[in-house]
Amino acid sequence: MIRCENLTRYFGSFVAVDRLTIEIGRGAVCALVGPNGAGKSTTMKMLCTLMAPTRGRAWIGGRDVQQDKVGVRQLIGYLPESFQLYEDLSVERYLQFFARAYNLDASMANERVTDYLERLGLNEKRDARVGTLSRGMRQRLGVAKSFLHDPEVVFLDEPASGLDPVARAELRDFLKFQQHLGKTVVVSSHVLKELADFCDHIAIVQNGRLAEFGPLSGAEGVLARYSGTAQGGRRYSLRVVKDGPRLEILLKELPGVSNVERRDVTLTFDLAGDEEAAAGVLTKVAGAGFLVARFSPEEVDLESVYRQASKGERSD
Amino acid sequence: MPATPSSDPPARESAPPSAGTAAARLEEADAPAAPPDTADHTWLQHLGMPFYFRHTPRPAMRRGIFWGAFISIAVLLVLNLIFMPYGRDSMAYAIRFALFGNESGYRTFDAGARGIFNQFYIIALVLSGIIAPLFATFSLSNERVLGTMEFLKLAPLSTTGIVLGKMFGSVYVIHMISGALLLAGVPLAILGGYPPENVAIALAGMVMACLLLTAAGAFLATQTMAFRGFAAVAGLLALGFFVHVPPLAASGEKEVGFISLFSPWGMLDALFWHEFGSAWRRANVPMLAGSTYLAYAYVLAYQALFFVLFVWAASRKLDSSEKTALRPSAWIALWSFVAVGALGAAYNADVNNIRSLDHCWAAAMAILLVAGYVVCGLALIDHPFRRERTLSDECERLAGRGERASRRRFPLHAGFVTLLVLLTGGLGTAFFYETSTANRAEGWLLCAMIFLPALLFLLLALALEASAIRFRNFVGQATLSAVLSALLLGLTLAPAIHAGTINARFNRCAWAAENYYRWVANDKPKQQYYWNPSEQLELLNRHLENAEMLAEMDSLEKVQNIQRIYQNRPVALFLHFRPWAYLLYPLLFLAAFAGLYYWRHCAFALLRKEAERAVLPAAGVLYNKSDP
Repeated sequence: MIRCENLTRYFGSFVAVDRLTIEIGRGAVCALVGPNGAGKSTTMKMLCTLMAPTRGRAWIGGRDVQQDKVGVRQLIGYLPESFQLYEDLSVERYLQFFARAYNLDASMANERVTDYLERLGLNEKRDARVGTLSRGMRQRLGVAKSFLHDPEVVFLDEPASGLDPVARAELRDFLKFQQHLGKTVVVSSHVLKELADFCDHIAIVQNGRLAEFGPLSGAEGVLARYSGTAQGGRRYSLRVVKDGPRLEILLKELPGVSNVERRDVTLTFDLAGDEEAAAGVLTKVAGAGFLVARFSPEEVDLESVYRQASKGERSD
Repeated sequence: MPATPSSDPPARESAPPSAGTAAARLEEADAPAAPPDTADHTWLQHLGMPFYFRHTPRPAMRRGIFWGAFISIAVLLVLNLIFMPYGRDSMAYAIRFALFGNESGYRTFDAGARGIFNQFYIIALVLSGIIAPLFATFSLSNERVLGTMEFLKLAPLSTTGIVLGKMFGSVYVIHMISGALLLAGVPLAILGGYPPENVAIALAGMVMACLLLTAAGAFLATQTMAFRGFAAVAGLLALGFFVHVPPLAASGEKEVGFISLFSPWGMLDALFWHEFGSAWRRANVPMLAGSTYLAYAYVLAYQALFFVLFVWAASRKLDSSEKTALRPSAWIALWSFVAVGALGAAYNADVNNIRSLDHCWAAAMAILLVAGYVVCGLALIDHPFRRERTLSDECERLAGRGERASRRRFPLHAGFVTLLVLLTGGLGTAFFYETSTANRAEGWLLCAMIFLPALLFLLLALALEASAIRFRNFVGQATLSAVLSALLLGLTLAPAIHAGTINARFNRCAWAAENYYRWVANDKPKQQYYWNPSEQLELLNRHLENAEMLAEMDSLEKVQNIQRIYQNRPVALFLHFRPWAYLLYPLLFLAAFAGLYYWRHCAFALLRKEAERAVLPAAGVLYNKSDP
């Protein structure tokens, strides 16, 4: 549904986006993450036809973003990180205006506007002037505008910024609902835990280049790839009641164990091999007289993947 | 380095759809389901004007505008009806008499009807041709300043649609009031005896003038974001002044009278009002190639062309500020229209008592040189050199990804502008050649008329390109461009002024010497002496340059001989008395060209160094040359 090849954008001699090659299928929800200035917004703007790439090409739904701008704009919705609204219009008239700009007829426009006002909690403000809305309400209105014409692909640049925790949760539910409808969503955010809830793909951008890209879960998923060690095993966490330093010495002597790190009585280490090897380690530790409080494989979350990918630490 | 899975060939859509069939297959495979045909396809939407809906006033305001306009028109009509002629026994006459006395009012019904039309036409012109374009300009400019344009550009509308929507959608109420005024005025104009075809031309003229100014405003709005959008409004006010006022200066001249039609007031004057002027003014019907209707058609077509080009330029600039406003083909079209207009003026032969054909050629030359060089100047400013873009290209090239030698380095734009100037100079000189047999005397002069401006424009183009590459900020670019332009203009004008001064001095000396020798020989003077010829010659001799000339005029025969040789040959005369100019001025031009070309080269070299500083430290990280 979204494809770009060697997408590059310069600002003078500064490379904001450098040869980005990516492909996102229909119905995928892709998190675009990276530090500030990594090129996420520039990428979105290029894909949304708002900025011409210096080099490379991109297609949305098979339509070239440079050659068929109007065609691409029919397919996409976009919520920029910072945006301005028509302050003089009421909330309802604002949405009506854009509904007509997207060629929706009057009855369908009314239906959609009412629907999105309700879904995004703007119903009480439908007659309020946009200029009087709070930051969060404006953000909701921006989201409503982006989805109003039922686009196939939606780009959301920091959609949760300015929202309170409850509104964030509502937005998350709204995006999950859109995911169920089969829309392709590309969302950039710094709140990685929330992204992990509903994203099925991740693209990590660092210095304008793609540091990591792929499905989030599954055997070939990014999480699985980052949970593994260099030897093909996993990283484990072991907590004992006392004698942490002595355990550290013991673990370092055991075969297949490497990268032992100790924080008081909690130790983490890489272990080559499968669950049988883990059971062997546990037996030896217990046999040496240690009182084991907890022993489990370490969980890999989006944040640790992001950290490792940003540093180029993935071992394979 | 983390692997980038995207570099692996994906199962589907792996090949870039460079070939048409591949693209078609891809589109077929990945094309979204066709959206339901929900559009209601109003004519406004066909024109790309969904903004109609945004600017729909609230019902109360809508009623207020309607009734306000209705009452105003009604009051105007009533006031005019009061001024109509009536029988002395009528009530209307009594009211008129009571309010304004016996002498007020129109003499006939026809005069009254025409008066109403004139009033309504001018009010409509002010509303739609001045106020509406200013509002539309502010609307578009303000949208860019506030940042709301981004959402508009995301709607499935072409950029031209957005520009048109902002031009008309935001001020449609004003145009509707104008329409209502004309709807009331036009029947009265025809009843009042105005020829229907003239009324039709007047309406077309008004529409085109309004379109032209609105489009010009839209273009200005895409150029500036200063002063919260008011900079564009100020620009349009200035431009409007030049569109409305200067053409009127041509209305009294038979050869170029059609230029006055470019102003709506000039068109009104030519169509309806000139009959009230003096006999001399009444004879000055604006014509092109001897035809009045051709003159109107030409002006309307030119305004239509300008409208299209302004909208196109505004769309291009709104789409990307890196683009030039117009393509070379558009500049050629504009220039061609200027040439056609000039030729039309040349063929305004002495139909309708025009003094002589020579005057027509002179007028044609004036039109071509003024308007043609203005077109060339605008094309010169609209150059494709953008520092950011060129720097990006240079970085790409250094990283081994871009073209080896960037096309942007070649002065193609300078060449195009120089060619356009050569055409202008060539055609203008041809007109000059036809103006008088005296103007055919010297080939050098004709060559100078063609090549000197071309040389100036070439140097200016190089200077503009170099300053655009060299300076990061607009102020630096503009300042240096202005200074260099002034210097180069001075350099171009210097030989012309020098030659002109020598020519004037020569004429004065020759005249004085001839008088002197006639006076000495007691011959009949060529002209009446006001001073003693001997004293005058002595006075002239005090100046070194005059003495130098007078030395070659030591007898009447020699004076007449030298006059015969150099009559109407200012360049030959100049070179005879200032032979070093043969060397000096070409050398100065050569030095200017070499200096500018070198500076341009240095600007590119500095840009390359900047690119190297950016690229080389990052080599292997951002710019791995081994990468495909």
